[in-house]
Amino acid sequence: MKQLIIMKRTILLVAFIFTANYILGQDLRIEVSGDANFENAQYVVTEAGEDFPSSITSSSSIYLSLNYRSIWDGIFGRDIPWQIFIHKSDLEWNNNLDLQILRDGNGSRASILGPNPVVTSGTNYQTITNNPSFFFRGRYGVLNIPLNLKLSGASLTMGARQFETRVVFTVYDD
Amino acid sequence: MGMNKSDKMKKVSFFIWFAYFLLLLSAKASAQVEEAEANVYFELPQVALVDIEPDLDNSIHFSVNTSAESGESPFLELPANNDLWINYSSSLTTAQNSRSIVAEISQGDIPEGIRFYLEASTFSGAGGSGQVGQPSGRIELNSQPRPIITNIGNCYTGDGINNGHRLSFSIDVSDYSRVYSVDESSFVVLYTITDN
Repeated sequence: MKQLIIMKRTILLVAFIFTANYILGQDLRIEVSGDANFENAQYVVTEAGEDFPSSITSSSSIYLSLNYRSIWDGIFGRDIPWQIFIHKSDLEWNNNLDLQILRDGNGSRASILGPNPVVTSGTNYQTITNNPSFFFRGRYGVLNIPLNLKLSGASLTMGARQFETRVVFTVYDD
Repeated sequence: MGMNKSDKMKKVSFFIWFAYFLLLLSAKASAQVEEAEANVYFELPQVALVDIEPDLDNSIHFSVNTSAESGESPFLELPANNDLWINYSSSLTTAQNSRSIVAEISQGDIPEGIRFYLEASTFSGAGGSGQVGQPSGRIELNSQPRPIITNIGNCYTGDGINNGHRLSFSIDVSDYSRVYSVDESSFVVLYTITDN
């Protein structure tokens, strides 16, 4: 009888482990895709004495996805509140350059049968600094949220060089 | 002394609990933060542009007139248009040092016995920024390119008159014996921005 009780407890614990794994281990995976360069931009000076145009907008977009880790969630969806913070890490940069970003859409749901995701904030351009700042938040998994980048401040005084920075998106539980 | 089945089950139960808490901790930690990155890059091109303003009429006129009194030297009427400005935009790679603007007589000839000079002022104007050039002083122009502004770095002067360097022209007679009467003579001054 005693062995039966212990056996039951053991089975219960194993069930708890799988439950815990489901609840806490199966969260969202953040991914970024697309080309985030400004090579298509025309840095052209049309008249001697002038500088580059004051603002040049990227012609390409990048896409951010928050995908479910578990197959179960990928089918039925799950209400996971999340928030995205953003910052940059400069590789070759100039402090007079201003890199801004906005969320240009809501993306699509990451599950087959689950509810549509909810995404809020981030629809106005904000400057990306080297310190993390809040970008936008939402619930449920979401695929391909379109983001648009705008660069300004490029000047002849910076010389003919290549500039590069790494934009980092961090997802937190909300 | 061997353990009975009950003790073994307790031990198994303990390890399962222990593993459970470890999983909780690791799972909780992994759920809080995750990052993704996107590299943003772009390249600024080399630029080297020079222009003379106001552009509508960049011609200058001067004349050598006979004096009223016999025995006196010819009367030099200095260039009337003394309000030409030179604008430029420049950006260099790190491998380049600086640029210069050179001037030369590219078409036509200066009448014999006459010397023609050009001097660029120091930079002025509110529309520019960066390492603008230094004037070379009063330069006699001929068919060979000669620097009138040097040490131009990454900069722009601003566009239009009152931006950049004002150009001043002057003439003198180098050899009266070689000054002949000509109805009109014209020549072209060519400005070029060059790498040093």
